[in-house]
Amino acid sequence: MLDPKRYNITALKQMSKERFYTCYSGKIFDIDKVWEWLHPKKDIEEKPKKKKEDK
Amino acid sequence: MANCTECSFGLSNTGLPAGCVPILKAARYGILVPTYDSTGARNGIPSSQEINAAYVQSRIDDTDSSKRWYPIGVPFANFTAPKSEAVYEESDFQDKFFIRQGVRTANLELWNSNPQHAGALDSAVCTSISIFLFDKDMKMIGSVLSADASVYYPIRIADQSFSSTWNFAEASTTPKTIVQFDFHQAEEDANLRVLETADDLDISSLRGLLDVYATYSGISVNGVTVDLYTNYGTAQNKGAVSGLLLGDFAINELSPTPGSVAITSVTESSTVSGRYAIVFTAPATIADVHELVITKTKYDFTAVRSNTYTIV
Repeated sequence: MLDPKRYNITALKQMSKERFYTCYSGKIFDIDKVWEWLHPKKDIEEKPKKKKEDK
Repeated sequence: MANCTECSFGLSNTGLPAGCVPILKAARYGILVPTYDSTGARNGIPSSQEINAAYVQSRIDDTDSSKRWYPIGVPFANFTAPKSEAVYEESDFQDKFFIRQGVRTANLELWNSNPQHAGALDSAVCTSISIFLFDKDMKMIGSVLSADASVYYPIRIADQSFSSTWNFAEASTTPKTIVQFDFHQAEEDANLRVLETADDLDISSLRGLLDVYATYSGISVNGVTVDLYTNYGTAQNKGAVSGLLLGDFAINELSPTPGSVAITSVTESSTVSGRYAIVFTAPATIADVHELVITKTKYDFTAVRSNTYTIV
């Protein structure tokens, strides 16, 4: 979705939502989708599952 | 050429080897080289070095401007390098005493050239420079010191003698830059040498670095927008420097707390070529002074780096 030759994806993922929207509103097309792409719910859901498996 | 001031000098043997002897053909291309680097050492090519495309390109891209090679970039036309008559003093009895050899003056034309390029060449008058010449067969012409053949040197140009004058096109002619310079009087014809180059070297395709300049806008604690351009273009539409990527950019804070500034993104405008929006990873502080450091071959970003901006 974002070209890693132009965006530091790791740094973007660590940005707060407020700062991300301040810096990129009007600069990135469909900013809401990009935010979701950077923070997929799948990852958040998967983490507790892994913990259960460990137990 | 004979130096008659040396007491030990005698007549030299004049034999020639059987077969082919390298001949200096008319110069077609040139590369200017600072005569001395920043340490005061004379710039030259170690005789063990193969003169191939990679080596020459690395010299052109040298980050040390005092060692860098500066290709003239346009083929020579109408190259001549005549030598004026030797200077003698004559007594009232018409005894002739040799004073010095004449001065060799090179004249050449660069066709279809532009005034910015002529201006860039003209800066050569301000420094001590030398030149490697190339003939149409890509043979390189340099010189050796008779006492030291381990280094091939470019031919020294007499200080302050270099001039380049751009001329308007006329009804039936192209715009031309007329270049003229004198060979340094210490350059002896007998020390000129043909230097062999590798087959992959095509001097006609080599260009010197392009100076890049910056104009900043939209400066804030979150980022900055920069327009990068060269001198080559129209006054309104300067030659945009396009295609740079995040990895080409770095930012340093110069004051009040010197250190590097992390960058999250660098995106070139889709509508204005050479315009880059830069976003800082962490918010900067108002009144911070930054320098933009860009690294990309074929360009010189020194002017960009020295053009600092202040966060507002």
